[in-house]
Amino acid sequence: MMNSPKKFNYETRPHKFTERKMLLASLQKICNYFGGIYQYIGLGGISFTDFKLFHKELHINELCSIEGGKFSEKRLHFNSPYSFIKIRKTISTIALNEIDLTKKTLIWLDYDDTLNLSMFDDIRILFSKLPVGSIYIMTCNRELKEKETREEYSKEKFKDEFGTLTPYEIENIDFSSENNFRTIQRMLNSHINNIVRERNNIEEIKIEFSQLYNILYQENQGARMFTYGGIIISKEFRIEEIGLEVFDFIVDNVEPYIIKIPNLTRKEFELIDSHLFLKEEELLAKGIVSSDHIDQYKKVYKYIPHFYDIRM
Amino acid sequence: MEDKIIQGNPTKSFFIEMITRDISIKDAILDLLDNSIDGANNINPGDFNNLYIDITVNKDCFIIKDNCGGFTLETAQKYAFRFGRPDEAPKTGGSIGRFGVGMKRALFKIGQNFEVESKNGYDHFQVNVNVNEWKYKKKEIRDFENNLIEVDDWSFQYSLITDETSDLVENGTFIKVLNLNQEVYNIFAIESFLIELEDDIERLLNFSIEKGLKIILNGKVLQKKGVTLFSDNSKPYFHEFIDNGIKIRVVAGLSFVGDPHTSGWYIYCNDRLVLEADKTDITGWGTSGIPQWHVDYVMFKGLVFMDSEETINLPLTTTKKGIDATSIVYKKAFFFMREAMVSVLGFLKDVRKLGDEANDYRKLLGEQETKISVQELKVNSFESKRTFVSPVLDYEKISIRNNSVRISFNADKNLAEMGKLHSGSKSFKEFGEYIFNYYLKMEELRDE
Repeated sequence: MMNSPKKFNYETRPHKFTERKMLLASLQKICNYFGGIYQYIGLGGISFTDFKLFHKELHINELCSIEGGKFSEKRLHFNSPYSFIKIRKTISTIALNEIDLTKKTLIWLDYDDTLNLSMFDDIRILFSKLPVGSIYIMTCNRELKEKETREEYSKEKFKDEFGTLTPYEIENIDFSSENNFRTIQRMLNSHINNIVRERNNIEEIKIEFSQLYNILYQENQGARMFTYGGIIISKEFRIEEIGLEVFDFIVDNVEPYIIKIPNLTRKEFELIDSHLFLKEEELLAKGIVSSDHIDQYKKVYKYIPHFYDIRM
Repeated sequence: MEDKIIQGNPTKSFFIEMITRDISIKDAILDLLDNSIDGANNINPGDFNNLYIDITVNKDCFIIKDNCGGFTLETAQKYAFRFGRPDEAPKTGGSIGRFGVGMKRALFKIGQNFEVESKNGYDHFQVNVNVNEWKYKKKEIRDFENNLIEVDDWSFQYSLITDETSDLVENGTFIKVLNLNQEVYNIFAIESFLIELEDDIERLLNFSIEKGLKIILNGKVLQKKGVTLFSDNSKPYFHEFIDNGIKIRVVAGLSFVGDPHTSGWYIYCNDRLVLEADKTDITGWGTSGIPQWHVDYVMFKGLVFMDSEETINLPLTTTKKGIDATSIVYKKAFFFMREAMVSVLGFLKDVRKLGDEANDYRKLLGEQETKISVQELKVNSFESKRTFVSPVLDYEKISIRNNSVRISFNADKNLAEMGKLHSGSKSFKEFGEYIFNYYLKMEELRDE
């Protein structure tokens, strides 16, 4: 999970950037609605991009970065943008045991790895304690392939690996790139709901997990990623009250929201901007961009980055 | 309309021959010990000093004698010799016998003739039973049409006794079984049976021994045995709550690498170990993302203590081996057990990454950490609330350890004391290091 900055600077990945801005937009509403003080837990790596963003935009001052990779302690501290970010150099399952999870928490576990059991361990630790208003987000590589052979799992091999977390009705086709994200979504959803149900047998306040994020994207030539997440609410709470319907990327079901930035020039983006919604037929008639381009653009244009080369 | 009746009442042979199959001879004996311990609990639940249970096992007879207070004639009439516990029976007060099956089942299991004597300060009586005669004992009653019919007679006869005919001086219980059943005779004749029984008693009843109860098996006083957890660099997971009058405490953490048989979950109900070193799905292994037990997790140990005045509420099975996993209270405990497992196993999965050095590290932890006994785990309060604090993986220490050897030798005690004093060493260990460095220096073997 930890070595991705070596491959690519996080801050210049346009799809990742777009996703981060989308999450931010919705998180602002959620945090605002629930109010009070949140802590942020993330896997900051050495770029700390989400830390900078959430500190400045969500005004979260209690930040904790977990980093289990091979970056030295010195390098992690050197790159930390703020002295008040607590850095825990250990694996997430151990680190989560050391953090007070009874506080209202925003957590984004942006694993680079493919799905593995430790992600489910993290879920158990988190959902056994996190209070109402807490937000859980995870990102992983959505490939479902065996570690050694790099081949897609078979039903049997998958069961060996994931045991009783494996969905009851599963076929080999559920591990293919057309379906793997659905399989992962089902598994995460059912694991979380099981823990929530067990917890409701114990605690006075009955809670529920409301899925908000089910996002797919692929960086140019890069890994195919899957982001899943949602919020812990009390059972009688109506999620509509937060007013998230203004965001079309909020997805509470199994069908993902796909982030795909159309491959267009800056001039073409500006052209679409000036025709968006009201003059789209006129735009298509020009024969410069396709309707697919327009559809893709509409989903992301509020959030995409614009990179410029500057001399320093 | 004609009454169509099918008789549903049990037969005596069902109790003599069937229910005795569900229990091993060792467990039957432990059932009898549980009764004695219940008596001790009634005297003083916190302190068993000056109380004893003396067990004699040989191929001719089985005797168990205690000074744990005995039971009254009323208890004998209403409960102890009844089959099954009547619904109106009083609260069991933190005891472990509760189904009203233990003593009879144990005695039927062991032999054909038994006597049970009890002295309690009010009554002193004895029940003698010849199982074969009792099995065929009938009595006549009148049915609803006033016809005399013959039915099974389930009663036992008792006699009041005097001190002359007594086996008891103090208040307590004396049980003697003669004419042992063939399979019991065979087992009692095997020497290793005594060793196994000794081990079972020491493990399963360790809390009672800890409280001062003296358990004697064929003349030998038994010691307590119990698990320990590490605490220092690591802090065990700990959670305690009360549900439906049951106090539940879940503790889990790390323990010695040693014997894989001792790894797993331990569940105590009213201080009686009922599930030991469990590595099955009953305690969560291989469920809900938690892996199956594997030798990499050998350091894991978890303990659950459930205590209740009302024994029937505890998730015990009748054989007191295992747990009623479907009970609501156990499901609640299970939630915390899983949380604890995920936390501790998360660390042990990381230790695995040390590869060849993992085992040395595990052993090193065992040497460094403070150990907390099961008795302390039961009563102490812990800082860590529902979290397991992992020891820091210290790669440096591991490599130092790998580059060192241990030198040891025996020496004359007086001379060693003198040398220690002369060299200014605080311990023999330090003196040993002094000698080693002295030699290297004198022989100019080390580059300064």
